[in-house]
Amino acid sequence: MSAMQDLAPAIKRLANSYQQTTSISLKFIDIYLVFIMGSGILQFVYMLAAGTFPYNAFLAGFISSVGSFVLAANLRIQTNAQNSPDFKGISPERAFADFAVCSILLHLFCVNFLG
Amino acid sequence: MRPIFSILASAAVLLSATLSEAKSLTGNRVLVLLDDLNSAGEYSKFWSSLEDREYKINYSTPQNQSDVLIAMAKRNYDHVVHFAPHSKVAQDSQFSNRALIKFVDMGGNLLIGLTPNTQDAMRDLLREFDIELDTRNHRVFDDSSYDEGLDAGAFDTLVTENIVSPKPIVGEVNAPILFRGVGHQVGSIPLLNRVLATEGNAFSGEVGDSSREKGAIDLVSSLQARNNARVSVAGSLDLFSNIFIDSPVSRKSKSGGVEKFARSGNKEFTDELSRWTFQEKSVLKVFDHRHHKEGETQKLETYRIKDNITYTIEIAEYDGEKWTPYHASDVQLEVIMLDPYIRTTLDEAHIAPEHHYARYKSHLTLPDVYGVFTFKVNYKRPGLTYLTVEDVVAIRPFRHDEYPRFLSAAYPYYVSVGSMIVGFLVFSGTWLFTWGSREEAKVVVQSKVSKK
Repeated sequence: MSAMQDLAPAIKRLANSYQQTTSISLKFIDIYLVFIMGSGILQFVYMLAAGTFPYNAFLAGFISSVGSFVLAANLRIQTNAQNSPDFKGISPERAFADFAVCSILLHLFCVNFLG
Repeated sequence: MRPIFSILASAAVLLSATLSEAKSLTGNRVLVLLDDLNSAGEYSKFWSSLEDREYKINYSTPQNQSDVLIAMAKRNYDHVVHFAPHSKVAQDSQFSNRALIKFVDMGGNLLIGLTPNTQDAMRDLLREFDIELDTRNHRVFDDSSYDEGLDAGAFDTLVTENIVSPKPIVGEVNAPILFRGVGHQVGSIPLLNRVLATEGNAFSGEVGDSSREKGAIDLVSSLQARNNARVSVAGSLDLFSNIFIDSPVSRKSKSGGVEKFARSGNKEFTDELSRWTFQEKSVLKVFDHRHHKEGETQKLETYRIKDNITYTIEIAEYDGEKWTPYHASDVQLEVIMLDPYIRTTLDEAHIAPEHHYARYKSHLTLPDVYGVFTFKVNYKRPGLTYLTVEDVVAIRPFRHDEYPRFLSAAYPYYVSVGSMIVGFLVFSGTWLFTWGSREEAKVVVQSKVSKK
């Protein structure tokens, strides 16, 4: 009970701090990440329930989710102002361009593999 | 040019005439080898039975070296009746064991008659066929089943009805068979078939022998070589003699009385045995074999995995006059790549009765494995011509555009990939439209950080 009592204010503080200190663009990316993760989990559950056939379609769908997640997470890391000392050579524009090109390639491959 | 042409034409006519005459599929040239040419008359009924069946018989002895079995790598004869077990044959003779084996290798048929006093050379020849003849001068006795008319008190003129051969060699014979001669043991090679055996109480030994190991002794056996040449071995020359063919049979029956038959079954038996040996019956032939996709007719060299195909084979049996449909329920097709992936029984299909062959069919789904496969019908049954038919086909995997598409089970994945693309577009659009506010936010964050 005491652990829960300690946890509640901690979560509250985390939420407050997130609300106040995270930029809108990063919050956008977070929403996008949550959406991708939900889609990936749904597919995995469906695969467990309905079986692996057709396996190539499952792989294409799942890999598209995982790939999108990885690319979006990278975008988030590279455009976070707090990380800017680590990515001196990579401007936010450059980071977004990388993200866009890689995403287009990923989706082309996934659609091709979907069968 | 013209005379050569006419000679050729007449030769062709002659050839077809001789071919149509012969009842045997191999040919009608018979060489009879006897120890003594004067003894030919003892078997005249058997010879005339052969002559009735269009055979041309030459009589000779193994010593007569002017008769040649094989000349210029061709057989001079189609069948040899070897009734000369007492002749000593030199290694380089025209009728040496090596020559006889070569004759069989070249498709010639061999009918051998023996006596208890058979020479060693002949015993060696029989070993080539995995037949071991009983010791010299041993003969077969049976004191419970002998002919009372012909037997001179030695109990060696056997009466037997124990035909143990597969149906295709000798079927049923209506009267008991008379036999006086030597027994043998057959080896284990599957090409060999026992044909006639004694009836249980017989034993093999010398005259006056007291040791009696009783049991069925093999009297006549037949072998069909891998090249379908046929060899029959009878332990008795008397089996074919006029005396035995014409003789009535009387023997003590098991109940104590006397069994009588007006005529022995020897004629019927020797006729059937010679018909089988000389390829007049139980000869099978594949007329046609083909395969095609279900619903098509074209024979392909390449099929796809899991294709549904139809395999057809047409088999005929020769009955001494013509080809007739061969009926069986055990013809099997194998689809082989090292191992048989499919082994299935071919079903006989109904076809118009005027056809002289039977048609066997199977509908099958090819295996889910690609590679080079062999469609093989390997039909080997005792007494019947061995049939082996092979077709080599390639089985290929699905092409990239042959996989099934738009499966209902895959719709969630399609939706997912679509939603990822839409999500990417929406996110990118929003991100770019809010570019300015993002910069402001950064400033705000920095100011907040600095305030703290």
